Amino acid sequence: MLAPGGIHWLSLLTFFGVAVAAVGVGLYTTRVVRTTSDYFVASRMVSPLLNASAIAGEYLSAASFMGVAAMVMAFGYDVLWYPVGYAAGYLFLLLFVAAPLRRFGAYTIPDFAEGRFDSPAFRRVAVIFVLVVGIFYMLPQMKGAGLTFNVLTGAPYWVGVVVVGSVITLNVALGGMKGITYVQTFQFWVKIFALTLLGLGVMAVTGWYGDHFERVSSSESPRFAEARVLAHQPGTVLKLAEPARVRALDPVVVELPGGEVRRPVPGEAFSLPAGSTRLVTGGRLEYQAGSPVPNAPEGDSWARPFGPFTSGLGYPLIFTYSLMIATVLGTAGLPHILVRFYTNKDGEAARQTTIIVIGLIGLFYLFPPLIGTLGRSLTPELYATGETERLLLVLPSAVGPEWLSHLLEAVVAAGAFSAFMSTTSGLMVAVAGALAHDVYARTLRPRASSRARRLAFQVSAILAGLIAIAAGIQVERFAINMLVGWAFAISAASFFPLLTLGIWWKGLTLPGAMAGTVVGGISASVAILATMWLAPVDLGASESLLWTLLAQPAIWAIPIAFGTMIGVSRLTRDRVPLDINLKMLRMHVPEQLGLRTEYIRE
Amino acid sequence: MAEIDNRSADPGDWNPAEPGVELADAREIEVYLAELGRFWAEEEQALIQEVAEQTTYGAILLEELIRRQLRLGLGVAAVFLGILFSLPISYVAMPELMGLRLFGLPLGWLIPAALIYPFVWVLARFYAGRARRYEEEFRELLR
Repeated sequence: MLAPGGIHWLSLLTFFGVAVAAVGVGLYTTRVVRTTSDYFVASRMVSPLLNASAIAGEYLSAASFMGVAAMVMAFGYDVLWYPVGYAAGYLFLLLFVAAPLRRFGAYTIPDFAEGRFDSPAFRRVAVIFVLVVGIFYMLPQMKGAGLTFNVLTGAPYWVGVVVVGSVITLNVALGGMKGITYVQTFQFWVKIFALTLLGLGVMAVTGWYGDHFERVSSSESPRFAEARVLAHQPGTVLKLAEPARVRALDPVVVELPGGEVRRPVPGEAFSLPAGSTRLVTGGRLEYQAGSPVPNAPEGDSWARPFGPFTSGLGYPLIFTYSLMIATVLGTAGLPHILVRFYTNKDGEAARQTTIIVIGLIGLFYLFPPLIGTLGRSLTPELYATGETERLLLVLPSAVGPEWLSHLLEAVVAAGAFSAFMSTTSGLMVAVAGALAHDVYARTLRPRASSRARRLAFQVSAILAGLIAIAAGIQVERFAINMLVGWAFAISAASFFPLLTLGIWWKGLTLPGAMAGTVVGGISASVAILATMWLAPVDLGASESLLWTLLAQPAIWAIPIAFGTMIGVSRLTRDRVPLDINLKMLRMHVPEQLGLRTEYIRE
Repeated sequence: MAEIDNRSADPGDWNPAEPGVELADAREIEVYLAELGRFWAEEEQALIQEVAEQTTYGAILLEELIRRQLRLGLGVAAVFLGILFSLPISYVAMPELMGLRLFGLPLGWLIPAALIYPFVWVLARFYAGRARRYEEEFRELLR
């Protein structure tokens, strides 16, 4: 943990400034939110540019803002597939989902499930998956909030979760969809400004991207440029390819690679040999200038495909392809993103929105690989302490002059807050929408008035907020990327096959669609839960096809879901809806012909 | 508030004037009428109905539209996935090419870290343009 006193007032100011501005924009727009339609779908009059900024703002979460750069620093080349997949996911959304889903007039995935197959029961099944994906996606955002808050103010982790969670819940409950559209747009621009300024600012002082890359991708391991004191936690393992000279500043107990235990007295200089040394007790070590940084991957494997990230389990090609498939196809089934497409005026606007989103997100993702490279070059000590996740918060302090460090810290704080706020808001609208729209208005009280449905949305938002806060406090020890990966894998193996086959294949029947969604979603979930809780402790050390397939389930779970849908549909041919041609017409015929249906009405 | 009637068992009963299947909102109708005139609007409504009723001509046109859109989508997807999947392999297979430098960075890094994004954008533009053209052709044929 960074000392709370080490943070400049400017960072605190921007962090809270962005929070206050976001709430202000939200409150201001509530004055123009009058109707139920405003509330749920922003009256479908959001222009493509505004909507695209809002989608990009919503999509780029704490994982993208902080996590991708941190992972690029930690693992290198193989991590580039994450942002590539996150951006290219919108291409698949455009190709197979965007316009037809908008034309069908389905607000949520459960709307689509019911409307396409005339089955209220399927709606309920789909709602469960929406809630699971939504809540799981919220947890890493809460973790980001708690961590950033902790670094900035020194307050305990749970305080950040409660404060940030409450602000977001309040904002969503007051403004609904129209309120958060403007907030998310604003936050997209804050995030991209923050990363641009950080990248360019650090390069202005320390040199061009290519020079840093050249340095960190050579076969030499990263070294400490000057003597450096690092505080290690008890149990830390320091892996070295060549010996490092250090001096103990605290009475530490180290277990050397051969099993020999040493107890250097404070002030004693000694050598950490090549291999893995374990610190039995924690303490401070001073690394001498020029000594290699422990735990840093070698430049050769860092800058090339099939490096430490994908080859740990022995099947790098399968791991890589499965990861690509999950990120590319998972995006096209994310409930909180799809809800936004319904705020487009028509199918053509949905397409234009997607194209702009691809441009905005592509621009954003130029920076995480740059920042990861800069981190490896300028702050390699994060490898030794295992704190690469803090890269964005630490990198500004690696450059002088002091005013620039403080300025960059401040914009990073603002961007980080925007990142977890915008994604959590979007997820909360999706979850609250699912509860208020799918459960309350469609299942419990079909005749509820507009006002009652709006109240149901507000109550649901507060409920979702409380769940997110309560669960968010518990997840401090879980890795952000595991949780995000879980949401993507479920989405790719359940909703993506449902949407694509439902939109393009007349022969899909209710039993087929339901079976495929459930089989795909559950097999992906089980695989990832098994990886989280049952995998051998030192997963990276064993080579196993089984664990590769469980850690990255997309490559088999998606074909199983598609296969189940097609197979079961073939067996139940007589269950194809009678009015399937009318449904196809609704999805595929351009609006100019005057055919129009909407789920959300005044 | 009207419900969508998804359960109309007999597609022949379907009629655009029924609740649940509405004409576009007032402003759009204005634009629409300016373009086509009331005569064409009525004419086209009749043709939509024909498509929905699965009369041969309309149903064939709709199937053709869906087939063309799907083939276009699958084609673009195949091009993208082909390139994406070959990137890590070509890095290993063609080290000289991937070691070429642009802006001081080797191509092998620059492609997935930067150049692929404008490429995805171009593919998206290409798809949307084509898809729109197919829809316009569909409307022309309906007349």
